[in-house]
Amino acid sequence: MFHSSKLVAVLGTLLLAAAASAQNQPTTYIYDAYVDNQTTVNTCSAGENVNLNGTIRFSYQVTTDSTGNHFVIKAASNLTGVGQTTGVNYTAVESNEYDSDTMDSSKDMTVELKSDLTPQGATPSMTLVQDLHITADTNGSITAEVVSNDTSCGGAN
Amino acid sequence: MLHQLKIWSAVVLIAVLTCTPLAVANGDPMTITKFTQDSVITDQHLINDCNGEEVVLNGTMHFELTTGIDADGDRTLYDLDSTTRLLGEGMTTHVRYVSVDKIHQHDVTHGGQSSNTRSSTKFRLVAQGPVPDLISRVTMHTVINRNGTILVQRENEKISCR
Repeated sequence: MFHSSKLVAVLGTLLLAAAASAQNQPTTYIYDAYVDNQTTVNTCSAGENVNLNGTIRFSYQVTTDSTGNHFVIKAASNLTGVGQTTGVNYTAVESNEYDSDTMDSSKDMTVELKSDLTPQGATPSMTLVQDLHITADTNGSITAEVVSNDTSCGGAN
Repeated sequence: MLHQLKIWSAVVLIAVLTCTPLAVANGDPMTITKFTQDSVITDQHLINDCNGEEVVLNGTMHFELTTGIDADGDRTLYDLDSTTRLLGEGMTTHVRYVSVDKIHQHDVTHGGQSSNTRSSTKFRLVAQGPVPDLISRVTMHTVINRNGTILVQRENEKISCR
């Protein structure tokens, strides 16, 4: 099976397709995926479920030249979490970039977004690993969803 | 601190685990092939910018690749899991660092194209004792072709301790 992660639905909104400012600047397309009470498990210390809320903003540009299409996709998360046992608040803020060079006019990829999942008042020691399924094409259409939320403990696992 | 560290892991996959004709992915009959590969990382040097100490890393990379090719050969799926295990030692303090980092990526191409992607990621080298952990931010450039050859290049690696 290619994709075993459970599908966690998110709501998304295509916010805008920013106009190319001038002279061959590629258009930036923006899409916000809303993380609404998705659950991950703090497997590193408390062993508790953490409910996540917030947004992941996807922005992308595509350029074309003689070698094909070049997709540049950025994902920026701004999440808060609440531990369901301890009531501890968590935050996760991160941005990553994913590029693909292809002759295809659309891109279908699943990538990882890793961010520090930081308990309130503590030093970050745990990583939130989110699988993101992204499709985008040369016409400005993009879809994105979080397909899994896991945690990693660095050298401890 | 910007620390350029380039590791080419240019590997021809030697272990073909299974080849399953006419498996179905998304309603499209596909030939599924699984590959594994292990490679070694030897004496990679980086600098802990908190104390200026040089850290030497050794370890392994393990790849599990699944490819799927549809009946007419137009659509190709690439599903790659990689696990990097590193042990580090500070050359001055002899503090030890450890990291286990797993990356999953999935890509679809058409017309028999290779998968050619870059992903930025971060991983943590956990320090023994009170020394700060090291955080690596790196772009992984991965090229995979249909016969299971994987090229991985670490680009623009930045090391910090916070």
